[in-house]
Amino acid sequence: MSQSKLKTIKGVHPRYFAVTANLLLTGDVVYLSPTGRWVWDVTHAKQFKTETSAEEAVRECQSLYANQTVGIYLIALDEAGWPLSTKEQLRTKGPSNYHHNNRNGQQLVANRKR
Amino acid sequence: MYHYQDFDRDFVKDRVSEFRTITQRRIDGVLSEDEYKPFRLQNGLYLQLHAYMLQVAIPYGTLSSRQMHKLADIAERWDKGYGHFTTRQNIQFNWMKLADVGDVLEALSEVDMHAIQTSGNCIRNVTADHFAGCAPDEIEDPRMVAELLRQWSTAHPEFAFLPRKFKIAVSGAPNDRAVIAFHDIGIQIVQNRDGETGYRILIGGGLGRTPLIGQELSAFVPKADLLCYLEAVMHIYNRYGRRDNKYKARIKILVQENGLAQTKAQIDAYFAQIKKTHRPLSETLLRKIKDDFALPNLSKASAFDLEAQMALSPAFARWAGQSVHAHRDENHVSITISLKKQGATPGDASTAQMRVMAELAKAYAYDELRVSHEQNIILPHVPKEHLLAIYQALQEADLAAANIGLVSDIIACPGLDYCSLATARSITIAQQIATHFEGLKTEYDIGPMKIKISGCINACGHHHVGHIGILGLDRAGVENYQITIGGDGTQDAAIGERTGPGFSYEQIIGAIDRIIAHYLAKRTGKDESFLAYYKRVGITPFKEVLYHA
Ligand code: SF4
Repeated sequence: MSQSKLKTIKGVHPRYFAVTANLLLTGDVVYLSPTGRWVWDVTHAKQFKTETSAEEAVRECQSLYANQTVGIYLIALDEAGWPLSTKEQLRTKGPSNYHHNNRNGQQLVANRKR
Repeated sequence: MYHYQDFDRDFVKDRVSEFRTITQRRIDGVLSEDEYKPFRLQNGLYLQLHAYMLQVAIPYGTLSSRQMHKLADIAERWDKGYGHFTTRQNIQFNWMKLADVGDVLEALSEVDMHAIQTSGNCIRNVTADHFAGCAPDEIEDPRMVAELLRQWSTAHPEFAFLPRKFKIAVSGAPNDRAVIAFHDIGIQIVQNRDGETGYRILIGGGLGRTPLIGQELSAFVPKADLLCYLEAVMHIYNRYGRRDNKYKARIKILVQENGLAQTKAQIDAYFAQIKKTHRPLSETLLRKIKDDFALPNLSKASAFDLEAQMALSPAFARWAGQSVHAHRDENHVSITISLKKQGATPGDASTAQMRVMAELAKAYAYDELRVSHEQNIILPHVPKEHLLAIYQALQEADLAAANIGLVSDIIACPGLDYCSLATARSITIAQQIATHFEGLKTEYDIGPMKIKISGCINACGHHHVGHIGILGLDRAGVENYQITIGGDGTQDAAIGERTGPGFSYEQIIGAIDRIIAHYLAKRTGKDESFLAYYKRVGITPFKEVLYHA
């Protein structure tokens, strides 16, 4: 298990890390994919095994994508690649008071039961 | 209501075009986010969890039907079909795209609206009693002062970079419905012994991480001196307010650290100095503002018998009992339209609902609406004879919840479902509390109750002044909710007392249920409100039921 500088979240140590941001033009929540594109679905995000490698990716993205995205940072994922914190879960799923997950109405988490 | 002049229109149009130009420079990559962000915030555009959020200013919460229609159009065309009315008497749109915002601002400008002064370290949109102009206890319409302050403070170079944001609220009546004691400056319109109208000024109130009740800076400022006096206040704040620590930068901290006496001495000295050269306000301007806020030409008496109508329909009677308020004119009433249907998101209105409210205002209520800081909509002047028709139209639009002032009429900020600063959800807690007590059918039995929920320490949900306040925090990634009891945002201002350790998301509804069940069991009778009961017994019995039962 990777040792995280991030605090344990809900008693769980982060298993993986992903890089996230909001798109400049739309504000959409996106994740860095293994092919270096930005995707909406966190389950398609590149999973970094160590926080250090994710931090490096954040730095790289900050220089590459500063004009396409806003606020690039890393998030902690659990064993199944799902965000650990409630905030990041809500960013992925959309607000809990309405059922329009993201702005395009796409079911980002169609296969998940959480 | 206030009508824009060419000057206002040109100013707003210029700001729209400036927004378009600078935003395009950001999109083209000429400006970095660090360079662009302060600018977009000055135009009310925030980046939240899922999208951009545009906070639109509604000065002192007053809207015409045309403006409400435009808000509906914006919600339909550029958002997801709804808008969220806030505790700042504004509306926010939660799903904006950056490239669309110029068009949205243009659309707003067509109806004399904008999103300026809804963010940044400036004097924010001035708020006022939502029953302004119609409340029987009112001395004078507070919106006249609010409008004067709006004109004075907008784009005022000295107030563009204050140490921190600055909020002013105005009440025209002894019964405070504008929460003036919890603003940087609270203004109460009063009369002195000679019957002269002037202003009582409170300073240093606020919520957030350091909740403080405003203190009386002056018992009576004559009308002619108001702007000069406030300029002195702002000058002293600008000069001595802390800029080294944003958590200590509000004027309340200056007053707290230096003491009221010292702050007052500084303000009075500066006031005396500038008063000599202060030009009096133009009579033409004052007359225009007065004319703009004159009562509409109220219709004459009609044959409507409210009591008889209430006797005929229990549902109408329940609604009227909560939503209809006395008006200064005996043939009229004011109506609060609840945006708090049990289970719905507090403060949200769909496009269709906004249009219904706009049409009702146009058809029956002299074309005027208000947004209350309690996140409901007011029809301020309604001839009694139209009550039934309005009620029926509201029913059809799902806007006739008869819960104003009750346990489900909850203030809730957007919280972690939308807000990037949030530490916990607040909307879903409000939804659950409302449906819980609706299920128990105890709402009317519980009686007057103000529950207020904030999703973080910034306290946009005014939790400190809730009879029951709920503050959502984050404890190692887990939502945790602290409860306060006994807060009061009225003229009897009080900050709620914390009960003790917080409760988890799963536990909080049960905790609120225990508090209310205890009150119902122990009150002397229905006449003893929750707040009165708390004042009689204190916090200890509530701690017992929360932590030792
Ligand atoms: S109180 Fe906190 S969570 Fe709620 S709207 Fe204000 S900043 Fe956001």
